Amino acid sequence: MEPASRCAGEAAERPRGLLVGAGNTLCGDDGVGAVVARRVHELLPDAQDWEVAEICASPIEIVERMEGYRRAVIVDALVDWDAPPGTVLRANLEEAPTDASPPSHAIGFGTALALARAAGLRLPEAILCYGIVVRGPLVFGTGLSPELAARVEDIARQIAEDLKCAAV
Amino acid sequence: MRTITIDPITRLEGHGKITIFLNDDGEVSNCYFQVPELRGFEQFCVGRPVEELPRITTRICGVCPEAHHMASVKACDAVYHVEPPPAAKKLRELLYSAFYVGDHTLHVYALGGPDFVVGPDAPPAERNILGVIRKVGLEAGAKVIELRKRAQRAVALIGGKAIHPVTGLPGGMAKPLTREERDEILGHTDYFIEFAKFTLGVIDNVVLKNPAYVDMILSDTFTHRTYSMGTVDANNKVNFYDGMIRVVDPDGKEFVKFHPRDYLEVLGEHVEPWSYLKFPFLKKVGWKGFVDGKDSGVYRATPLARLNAADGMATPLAQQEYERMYSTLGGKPVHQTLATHWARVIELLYAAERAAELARDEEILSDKIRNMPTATPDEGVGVVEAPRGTLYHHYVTDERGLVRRVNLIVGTTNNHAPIAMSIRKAAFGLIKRGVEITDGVLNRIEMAFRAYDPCFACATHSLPGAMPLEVEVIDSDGTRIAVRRRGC
Repeated sequence: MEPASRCAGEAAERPRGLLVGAGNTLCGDDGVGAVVARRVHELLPDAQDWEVAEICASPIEIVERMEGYRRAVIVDALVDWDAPPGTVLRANLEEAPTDASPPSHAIGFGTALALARAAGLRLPEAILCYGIVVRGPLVFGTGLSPELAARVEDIARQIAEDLKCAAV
Repeated sequence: MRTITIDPITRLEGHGKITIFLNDDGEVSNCYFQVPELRGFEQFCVGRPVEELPRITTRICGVCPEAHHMASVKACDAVYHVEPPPAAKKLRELLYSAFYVGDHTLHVYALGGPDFVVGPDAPPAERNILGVIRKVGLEAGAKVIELRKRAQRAVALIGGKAIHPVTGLPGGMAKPLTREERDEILGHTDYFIEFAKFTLGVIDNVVLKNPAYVDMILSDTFTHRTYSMGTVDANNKVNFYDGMIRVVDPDGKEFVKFHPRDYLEVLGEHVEPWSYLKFPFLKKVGWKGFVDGKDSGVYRATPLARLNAADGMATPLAQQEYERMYSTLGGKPVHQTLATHWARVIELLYAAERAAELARDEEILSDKIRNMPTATPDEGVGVVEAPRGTLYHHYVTDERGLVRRVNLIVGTTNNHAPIAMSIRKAAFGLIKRGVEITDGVLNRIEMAFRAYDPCFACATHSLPGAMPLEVEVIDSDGTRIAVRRRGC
């Protein structure tokens, strides 16, 4: 078997940054990551250096998608009962813990990152994650709740501002 | 802006729960497995054009969207009474085989494998894919990542997108495969086959050469004699994409073989007050409770069940491994739940070989990839074998093709009763008076559950396609004396 190598057909040149809108746009507020990521992209002064990707999949797929980019930002919905909906929280994915026992169906971010690094995947030097607090239960449906939809512009501006200061 | 540390369960809501009740003597008196509630997927589909469903249903689950795309587009074929041309069927099956290779790989190395490779009693923090790599070698991790990359690339070339394919249409496919794309896929399928062989070597060296593991696999604690279900081709060989659905009884004798459209005549659904998810069973045998045996309508639809339900594998290397598994485990059918992991690796090899076979077929390059639907749409059923069980999509539309009713039985739902039974039997077998309830004991109970590669978020059509799990032990005073939680 030949050693791990890049697949044929991959783009040789990529924008420097990947902006991931994680979540399901057919699942109400779970899709807030995708909606906000699109708007953040419009607000970035160096938008041409960023590619936007909407990903509704498990962490391993998101991590695999980051290969070849110098920086990556994930915007995702987050359930946190201690904060009001629309609150933006920032996390450094480098600190995400690895799975503390085999999961049943999908591996977590920490494990996915460690696996990708161990496998020699060329991952971004910096990966930032923004979690936008939503309220459950999540149900199938298009569009955001009015409460969250009214906050999209403000949230996107917060993240865009933060990105200007962050080292990504 | 507040900075947080990501907790694996933070993002998810709702959780599955295994509750084990002990009696005054400290022995198991009862055991329940519960999953989160239904979230209205069927209602979401009503009123939409049926041809949109192959793209909508991929959003039910973030792990196996390709399976939903395939079952859905086959249901659309049936709704419109249109048969896709041979090249379209081959393109779909090639895409699906590549997906299978990637999906089974993840389970073998990341989900089911750590229990065996690292050990069921190893410290929890080491019992994950990183522990597997430490044990098997760093190159294994690189191979897993490379394999998944190539599988996704093959899916994207045929399906238009990796993860969420979009090219399936009623009557065929939206785009043909170019010769250059086909040649690239051929390179990937060679890698798939070598990778599957490598994985069988891991199973041989780490699991089968360890007598303690073999004893555990063959133990009564992890055994249930149930009916087995799987899709077979015209020669009764395993097929993931198309064919008749065959059920064999616990002795391995054919019980029924039916066309997917007749599933409601064969399957009933039992309801329990303590679970939102239904329990499918074989109508002709009847629901007799959570018991196994020939008189109980409980069946399994897993990789092992598919092998039990078939007469063999349609590709040569997988057939060799099929024969070796049954001869090693004492003949057919096999009812040891943990042998499902071995069956999964044999399916991985079959999917790899089948992908190569289809990619080599010159007809797959044909431009004739769609027959335009002309009949009035009404009702149709589409079925594929999802990695975790037979997947049924059933749609009813009005004469304009707008959806009036949707019914899904997803892979894991088939196995709901056997999963509950397996957990219960493992709990009764492993928790005894005077035995300390360690993390290892609770993990072995979870192993009975994990062998099914269950997707309960998907089974309840809820989101986001993953589910935290809690295992708790309650003593006779109602006090929780042990608990363990996991992310998904």
